[in-house]
Amino acid sequence: MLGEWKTEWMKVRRRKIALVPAAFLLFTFLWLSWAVRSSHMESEEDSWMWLLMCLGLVNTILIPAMSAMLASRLCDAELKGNTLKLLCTMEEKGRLFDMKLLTGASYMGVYVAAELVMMAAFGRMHNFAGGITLRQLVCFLLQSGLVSMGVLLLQMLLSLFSANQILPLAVGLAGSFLGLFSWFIRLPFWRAVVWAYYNLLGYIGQNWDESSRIVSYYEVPLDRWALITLLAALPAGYILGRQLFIHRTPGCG
Amino acid sequence: MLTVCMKTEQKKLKHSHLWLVFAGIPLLPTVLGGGNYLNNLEMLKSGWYSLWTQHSLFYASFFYGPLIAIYCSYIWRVEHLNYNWNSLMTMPTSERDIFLAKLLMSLRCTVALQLWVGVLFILSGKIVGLPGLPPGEILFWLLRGSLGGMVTAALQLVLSMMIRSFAVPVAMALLGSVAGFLMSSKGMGMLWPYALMMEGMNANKSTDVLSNPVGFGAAICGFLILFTSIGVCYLKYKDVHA
Repeated sequence: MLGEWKTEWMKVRRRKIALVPAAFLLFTFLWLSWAVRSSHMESEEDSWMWLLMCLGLVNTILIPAMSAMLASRLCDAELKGNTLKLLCTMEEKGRLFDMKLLTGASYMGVYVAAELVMMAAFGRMHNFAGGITLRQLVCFLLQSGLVSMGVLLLQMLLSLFSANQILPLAVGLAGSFLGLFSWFIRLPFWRAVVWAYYNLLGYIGQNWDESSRIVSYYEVPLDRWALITLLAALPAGYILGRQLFIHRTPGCG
Repeated sequence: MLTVCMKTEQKKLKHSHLWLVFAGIPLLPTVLGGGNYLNNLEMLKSGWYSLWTQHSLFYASFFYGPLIAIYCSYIWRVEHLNYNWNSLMTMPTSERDIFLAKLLMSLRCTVALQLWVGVLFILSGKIVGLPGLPPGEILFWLLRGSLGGMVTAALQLVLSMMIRSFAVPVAMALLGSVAGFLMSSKGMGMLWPYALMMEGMNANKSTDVLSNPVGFGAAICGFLILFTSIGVCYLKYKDVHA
């Protein structure tokens, strides 16, 4: 298993895949830096909640597209060289799927961790009062980490099954779109859409006073049903995807 | 020779199912923009113009650019596969014609995409119950947006030619579009190629804010010439890596 894990990392050597998440992270930072100037918060204590809420929204737009790029780049080696058939004669199909997913998940995990570091640096740069509570930290990890893993799993499957990468990228873009709209329009339909879980697992609410244009933030309880649904859907999606890959590996007859 | 090159490019696009993406993705802002309009009827009082603000906001700011980028990435994809760069560069055609053929194909795509968005806009207006047809001004904004889209297409063609990955130029277009949205809101849209399409489309505005059409035209021409020259020069002077 360690050999296969190493093989995956050998495939991505010198492909500068980390540049994709790094560019998205830098962009997120610049976006937040721009947004903080035009924010009108009621009190200084609201600043961290503002940051967490903003980051949730930015992630809804950027992470689905980033996951599509990441999955596409990780699967490029097999797709461009048409080497899946050859690989499957040497490596167990299920293991190959696991390693690919694990590689993608590693990038995503590092990305979410880097976002946390960025948040801390951002808060310090702008002299935010107080800090993030443990509840907020856990909720952030659930919202950004768990949902992103679900999105990545879907994109990985699409990329592995599409010789032509238009479909996964289009789905990634559509996902960004749907996720973004889930923040503005309340529909029961969103529970069936993985990208909308960035909003469904939201843990901060806001009140906007139209006359003073001041926003106040407050904590809202986590949607337990959304969390349970996601926690059930993730392993189910993984098992289903793995079986699909084993029995219908593209190019393996 | 340019016509022959364009026909060849057209052949490369056969069976690509690109049209599905271009037909499908604009449906999302149509449905959701219409829904948002119906949800906020008490605030949105300007009929077709109000619907336009809902329809164009997210489409122009986030998705028009990446859609063009997908097209541009696709038309360079064949060259990046196998040893096709060698074949392409040994063809008896000039580098200028190769690049211009791809550029003209992408321009056709940007206009077609805007026309489709226009059809969807009219349909959504009818569905939400707006009377008559949209003002000609809005249709003019749509076509003006495609001029901005041309600049994006030229830039994306250069990026997709230089970067061998299909996905990375699309990511750059998404980030560029979001940056364009931010620059446009600061009044610096003319300086950023990805912002020109939203300036042209008058995205999320119910009155025409493009006060300087000469500046807009100059920005379009300047960027278009710049990116086309870079593309042709790159093909002429940079050795290929097959």
